[in-house]
Amino acid sequence: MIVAERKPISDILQMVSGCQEILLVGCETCVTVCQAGGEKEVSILGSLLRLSFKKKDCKLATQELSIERQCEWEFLEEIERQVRRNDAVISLGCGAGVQAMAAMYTDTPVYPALNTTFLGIPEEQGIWTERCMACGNCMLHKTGGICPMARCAKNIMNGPCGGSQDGKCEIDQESDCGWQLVYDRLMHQGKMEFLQEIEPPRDWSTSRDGGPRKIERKDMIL
Amino acid sequence: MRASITHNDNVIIFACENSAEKAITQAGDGEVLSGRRQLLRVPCSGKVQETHMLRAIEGGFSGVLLLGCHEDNCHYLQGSQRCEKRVLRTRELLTEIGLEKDRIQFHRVAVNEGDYIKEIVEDFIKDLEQLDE
Repeated sequence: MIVAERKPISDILQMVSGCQEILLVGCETCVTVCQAGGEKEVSILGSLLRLSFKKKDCKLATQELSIERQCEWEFLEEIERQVRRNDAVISLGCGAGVQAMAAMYTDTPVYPALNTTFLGIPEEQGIWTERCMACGNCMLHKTGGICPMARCAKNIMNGPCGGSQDGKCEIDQESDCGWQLVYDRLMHQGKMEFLQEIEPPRDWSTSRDGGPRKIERKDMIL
Repeated sequence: MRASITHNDNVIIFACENSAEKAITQAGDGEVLSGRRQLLRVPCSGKVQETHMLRAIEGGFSGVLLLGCHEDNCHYLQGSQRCEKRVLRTRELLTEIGLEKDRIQFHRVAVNEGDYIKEIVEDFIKDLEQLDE
């Protein structure tokens, strides 16, 4: 899922200074699960903004709601009336959600309340970790289901590097060495021969280096 | 003797019905809940969310006091621990917007700690008075 965290309140206040009526929109998918932009977080942010405005003797009216997915037009259509009624929208969706809403409602400024951080998993209650960098060329079948792209700070194809010590990465002693994890998993599975293969330099054109990516499914297009 | 009414004793007290509420009854409701102090009984302090505390402050309460069970004595096992963590988080949120974090406080009490609960509430009111000086 997409993992995000709230921006500092001072940043959000700067975006909405001068506004008197704001719509806060949460997203009930990824950012609800990572507890950054769901219904609960919308309510908390609403309170924080109103209290901040009140402290400065300024008036702020807020309207709060959450939709199923901010990154899909059909869900965004449902809130047209509310968007048009307010001076600005604060989106608690991921970057894709903010952009979809801004594209649909071009007359109303849409501001991001979150920093979209990574694709990851809830490791345990209150802890989320990165697992995928959406490189567009998955190699998990060769690495025991552990992504060296997302979990190695250097994104190296044939690891580990010389900075790996006692299973930890040289950039941070708290960080597991991604390639050590791969090694351990393949050892456990009895598939060490996978590591004998030298991986050629990666073609990054499937990743961000190839520019904004697009998938077209002709069978789906109406 | 009933506690005196002060200008900032308009506090809301979220009290767990398994511990704090019974302790308040033991101490004497009139003693603890004098003035504009309001009691809100909850099935577990872990039921209280950040948004409840913030809305209470927004609604004009000077302070929000949360009273839960002692650790290892919570009727719902981890409820009071959850409450304590949410209170810490909400105090951080108050600080982030420039309000005094001590307007929200959490304490643990047992059913038979009536005297202690009187002390907690009076200290809380004193803290709020200091904040408003």
